[in-house]
Amino acid sequence: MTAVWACVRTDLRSRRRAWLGLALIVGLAGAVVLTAAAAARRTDTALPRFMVASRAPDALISPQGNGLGDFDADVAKLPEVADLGEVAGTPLVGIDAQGHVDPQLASPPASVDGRVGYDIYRPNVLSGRMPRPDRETEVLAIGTTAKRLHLKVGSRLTLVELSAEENNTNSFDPRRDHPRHTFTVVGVATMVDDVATRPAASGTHNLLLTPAWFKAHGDPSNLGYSGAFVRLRPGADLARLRQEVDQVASRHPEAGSGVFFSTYADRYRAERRFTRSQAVALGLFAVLAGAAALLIVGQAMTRHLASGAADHPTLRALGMARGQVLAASMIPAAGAASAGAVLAAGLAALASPLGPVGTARLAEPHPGVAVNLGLLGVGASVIAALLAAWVALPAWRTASAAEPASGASSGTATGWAGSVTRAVERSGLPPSAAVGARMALEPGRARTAVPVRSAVVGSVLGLAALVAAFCFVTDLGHLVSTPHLYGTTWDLGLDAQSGFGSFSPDQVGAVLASAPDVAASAGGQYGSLTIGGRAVAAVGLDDLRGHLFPTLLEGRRPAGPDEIVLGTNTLRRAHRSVGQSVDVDAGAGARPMRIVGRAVFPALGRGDFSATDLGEGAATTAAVLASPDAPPGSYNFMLLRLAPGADRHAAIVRLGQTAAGSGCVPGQCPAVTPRPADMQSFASVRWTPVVLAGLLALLAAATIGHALVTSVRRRRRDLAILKTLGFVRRQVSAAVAWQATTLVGLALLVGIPLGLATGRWGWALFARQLGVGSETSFPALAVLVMVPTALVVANLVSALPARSAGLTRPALVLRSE
Amino acid sequence: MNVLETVGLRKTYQSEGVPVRALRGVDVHVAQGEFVAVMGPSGCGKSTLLNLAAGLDSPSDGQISVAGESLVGRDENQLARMRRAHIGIVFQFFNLLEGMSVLENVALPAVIAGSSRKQAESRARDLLDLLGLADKAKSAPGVLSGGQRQRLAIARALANKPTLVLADEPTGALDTEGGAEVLELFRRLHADGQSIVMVTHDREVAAAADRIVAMRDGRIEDGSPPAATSPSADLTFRSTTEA
Repeated sequence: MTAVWACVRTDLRSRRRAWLGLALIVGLAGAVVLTAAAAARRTDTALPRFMVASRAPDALISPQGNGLGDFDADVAKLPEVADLGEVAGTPLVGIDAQGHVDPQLASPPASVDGRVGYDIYRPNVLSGRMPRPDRETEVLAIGTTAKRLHLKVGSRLTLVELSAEENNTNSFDPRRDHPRHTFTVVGVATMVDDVATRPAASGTHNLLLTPAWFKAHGDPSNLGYSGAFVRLRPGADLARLRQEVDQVASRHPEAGSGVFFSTYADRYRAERRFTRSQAVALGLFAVLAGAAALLIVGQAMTRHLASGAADHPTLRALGMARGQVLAASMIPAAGAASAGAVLAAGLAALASPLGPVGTARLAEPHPGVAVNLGLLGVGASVIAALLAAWVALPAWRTASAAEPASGASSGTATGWAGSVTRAVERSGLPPSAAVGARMALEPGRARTAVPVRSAVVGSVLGLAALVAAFCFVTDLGHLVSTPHLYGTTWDLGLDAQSGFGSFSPDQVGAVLASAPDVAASAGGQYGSLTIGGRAVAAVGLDDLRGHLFPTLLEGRRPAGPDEIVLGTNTLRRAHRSVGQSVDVDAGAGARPMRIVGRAVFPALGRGDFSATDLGEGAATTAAVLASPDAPPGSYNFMLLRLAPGADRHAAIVRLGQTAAGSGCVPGQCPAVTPRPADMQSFASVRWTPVVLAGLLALLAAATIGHALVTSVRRRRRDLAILKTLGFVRRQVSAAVAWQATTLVGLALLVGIPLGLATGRWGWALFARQLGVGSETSFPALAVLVMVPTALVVANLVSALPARSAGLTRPALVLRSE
Repeated sequence: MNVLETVGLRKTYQSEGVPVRALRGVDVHVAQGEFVAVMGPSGCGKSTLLNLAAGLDSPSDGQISVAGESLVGRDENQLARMRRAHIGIVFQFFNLLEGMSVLENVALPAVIAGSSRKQAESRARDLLDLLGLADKAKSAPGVLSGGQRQRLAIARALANKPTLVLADEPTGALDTEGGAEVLELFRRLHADGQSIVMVTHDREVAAAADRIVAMRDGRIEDGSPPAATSPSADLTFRSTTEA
């Protein structure tokens, strides 16, 4: 070992700076990768950690009447319930500049018993603090409301109090003298269920008023709603809980005739899918950046090792064993890789406040520096191990050399590369093109070795990824902008009191009578079904005029109360297929229903609560979900498809007027059915794949640039010879430009078909996961633009190396070489 | 006509801030069809003279012309075009393009000079045949022996039928047999009328030339015909002294 250490000491003494430089490069590149990986992990875990910190509710139980007090106390005693907090929608509203009720400032909730917001369903306070429970004028501003109204800590807000009559009829009489309440915003926060899937118009996610305000001003006879946020015991049976809640309600007439029961599991899943998609994107970036960094840094280390291998034959001749020479090569390399990896972990820890990214940042309960020791430790170890493994084989080869590399083996382009260079030579292109093609594809040997393979592979992968990303984005854009692909086969929807009320048969008739330009219409009931022990958002639909149903991917619509259509994911989870039966509980006990179809569901649901979502959901006939006391022919909502050529705006105005007295909330009805939450999520990160692929393409450009710079430096003798043979400066520069053009040309030739195939495969996979049809489109424009852009970028990248090559002084180079 | 003519040629390099006078006023005339050996010890300036004659470097002072055309004041590109038309260079260490085949190495100068690939390859095959390398046309230069490699370099130098072949220690990297092979080739070329200027430090090698120009310390020291002078030799040489 003494001999090995002597060699190592000599190497470190003579090439100390170079090894330090390499360690620094490893550290910086590794820091980018580890920072991204740690941020991805933090992004992915932010929501679950927020859920734990928030003590997120599992369900909302809201009777039609007043449930505060005794009803809620009895619910709290049910065996499935672990914890409960009471909330009430206050009769307060915000008035906009035009004197109208602002739907987003309607019925702000108050924490009735001081538990909601404080012990259960705790918000993530982004700035300021929670309102003190004993201060009636302090208020917490939440989510989009704070953003839209520019509410900050210290902002003052005045709300007016509606009378019970106004509150019950969803009306506002501006001539009336309303009591006014002024609040001071003491904190801005996010709730656990609206991190990503923001409610469009909601009275449940705007402000949080204190128990002190409710105690001073709350009137049980004048509430927007009352409810209890419930945390369940592990393994609680939801179907049983619903039955028990109904039994409790039957003992409390003040709670009214029905109980709205909404679980939050689907919503959390949607939230998680959204933040996870961002985490996956960042994780992918980390992987891609890691691969590119390994490619570039590994090449640099290999070359550095090779440059120190000149003495190996001498060392072998002096009696050192191959293993000893290998160890003498590997120890400094492994040392540099390890030092770089430690540096990378340190820098990543310092950069940790950059995570989480995107909307998950809103959910992060502990922002700032967060050192994930496990991830950074494993990451740093992987960096050191991968780099050591990368250089081990070349180090073994050079350690095996009994004679110095003489360059006797040409390192010429053979096989396909040789064919390409010969094709270019015979194409009639100028000599610089033929020389450039050779330089692009010949790896060279020993001192003229150039990372040709990594440049070719890197550029092919970069362009393929870009094409695949454009394919994916085009298909996603097509899905997002084509309503029937995400299930919406109608133009407008009308909700009776945000879906909590009902259109009577007369009101349904009036709406249809006022809309001669409606080609098809359906009436529906919102609801929830328990399928395989899981709550599934569901709709019951009856045709009112013509035929109207969400987009069917397979089978047919239900024709009777024993038939059901499921979303792709719901079907998959139930381990069933179309044609089979499944046990379904609509609230009156499980019974078998025949699955007659598979459909894509848009977002159909009451208010902000559990809605169908692409592959998630179920559809039956309306009777299955209608409450027992609802008159036949009444519906929570109506769906309308206008006749071709109908004036959409006029229809909206007319339907709005007709339905105004039917429980339609002004400003929210009629409305276009919102896109499913998943669609909103993916639409918001639609360009992420392109950004990531763009980064990869940038790395590919860097790889090409690196190959060009290396090539010019290591082949300066060849360039000098070309000059002695009569190449002028411009031709030498052009040869380098052709080198870049050849690399990118090849990358385009291989990368475009590869990217198209990958993009289509990826989309088909993604569409299957979403539960939509896998209709694909071709990103023709993107591909057409990409070809010249890639060539221009390659030539821009080659500009500096080409200039440097053109300035080669043959006499000087040939003398020194 | 003189294929190479220098008058008062000087070249001073800067080496680590110190001026190094490589040539201190050299006058050389090489006639058409002449085979001249420039001889001298290491560092005497003979390779510098060759580089200036090839247009690979520019003189600090003095005149130099090839085939009657002055090289002074020409830019890099003009010098490159001059090389295409008039000069073939043979290096001590061959300086072959290892990534190209034997045939491609020889054809390349003609392609650079504007010949079609077909014409260039046809001429290259003729040259390889002439130099006994026809069967190696598709080989990589790396598989050839030293003598074969230098013959290949000579073939490449002849690709454009140059007015003047400049050879820098063409036998310096070869064994005795290889060196003899190369000298015999130069003699044959010279016999066919090719003008050659060969730099060497080996008196035996120099003896193959019509005339020997001896250099020392950047100056022409002596010029005399070797023992067996060529009847075509028309020797003129003189050395200028430092001002």
